Amino acid sequence: VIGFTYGYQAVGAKFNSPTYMITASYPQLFAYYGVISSFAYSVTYSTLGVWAGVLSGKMNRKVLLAISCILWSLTTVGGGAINSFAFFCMMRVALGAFQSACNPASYSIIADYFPPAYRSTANAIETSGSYVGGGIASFSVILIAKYGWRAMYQIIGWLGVAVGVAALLVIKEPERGAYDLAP
Amino acid sequence: VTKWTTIAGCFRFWETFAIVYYLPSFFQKVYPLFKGEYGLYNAMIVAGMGFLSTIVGGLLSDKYEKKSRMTKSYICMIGSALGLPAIMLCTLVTGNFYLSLFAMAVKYLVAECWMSPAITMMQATVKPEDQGNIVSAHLFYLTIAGCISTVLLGQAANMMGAATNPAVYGKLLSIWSAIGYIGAVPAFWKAGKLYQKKMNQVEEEAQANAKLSPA
Repeated sequence: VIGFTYGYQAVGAKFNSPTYMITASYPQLFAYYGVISSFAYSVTYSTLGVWAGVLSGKMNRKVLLAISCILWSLTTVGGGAINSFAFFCMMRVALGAFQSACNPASYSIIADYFPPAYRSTANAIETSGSYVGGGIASFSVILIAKYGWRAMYQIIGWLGVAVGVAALLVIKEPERGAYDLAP
Repeated sequence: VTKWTTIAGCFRFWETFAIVYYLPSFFQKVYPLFKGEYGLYNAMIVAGMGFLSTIVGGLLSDKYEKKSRMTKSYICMIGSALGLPAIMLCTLVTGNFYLSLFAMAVKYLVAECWMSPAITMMQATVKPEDQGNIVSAHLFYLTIAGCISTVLLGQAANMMGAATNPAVYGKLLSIWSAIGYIGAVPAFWKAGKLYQKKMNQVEEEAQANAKLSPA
């Protein structure tokens, strides 16, 4: 949602209001948006992702996925709740750290749920989640216009926490390598 | 397979990160009076077309895998080749909100089918216990590429005065997308060739083992 928040251009009485425009709250974003949106997130997402891949080969992937979902959602809540640019940046770094566990765990679970003949389709359904999520994220513009960017961050963050708890209750850990032969 | 799929993916993430982080800025700053419409239509396009593209890409990959081991690779290559004109139309048009939006819809429909075939090619050529590792290593390099892309795009946007002239975002996005799409095509082709060779090897070994084993 950071792309929509940064791009939000309020007009009329809301123009330059820190409630609606993140750049009024944090004008530093004009200079550092590229670094904060991408680098701050990616530095932990990519490096810890390698460690998360190792973890997904050893521990219960359902738990790894659900706990990481709860934690990354809490970083979104925190990013909106605390009025500090440094804290906002730290939350981007933490978001990357916790989200790094998502793909290794989920693709590994899918590989054990589906035989190779159906795996592209199964992987496609997982991948499509990022588009559905990215699409739903556009509604953040409507939430910003109505409630402001901080409230929008908190609404989306708490929804994510609820999804993480649901994942913990609903997903079942499959048997490893059930359908695979070593190539 | 993993190496070339990752190189191709790096090019695609170069484009993807630029689009994800800067296309909302382009639309909201170039068309500030269409914010409500943008929020709604963008949601429908990204969710609907992105979903459709990935699902169709996955279904076609599975359906035509037996006919040609290059199917997955072709899907990735065709998607990349078709995405370029669409995103250029989207970002270079700055006077017609609905035309930009239409071109964005076409881009999501034709170009977002690559991830699932690419990951499946890698999964099929590594051991089961390495599947989590391979995905995370793959995403490591892709994210680094995407990250470099957005940082450089941000610097270029600042240098070219995008804050006062938002059309600059469109020009930069079209250049960044061209690099991503054009670079990905030959790498996907190479990955497909290696995947084909590996899967044929596995099949031949399985047939030889079946002949050797007693009835």
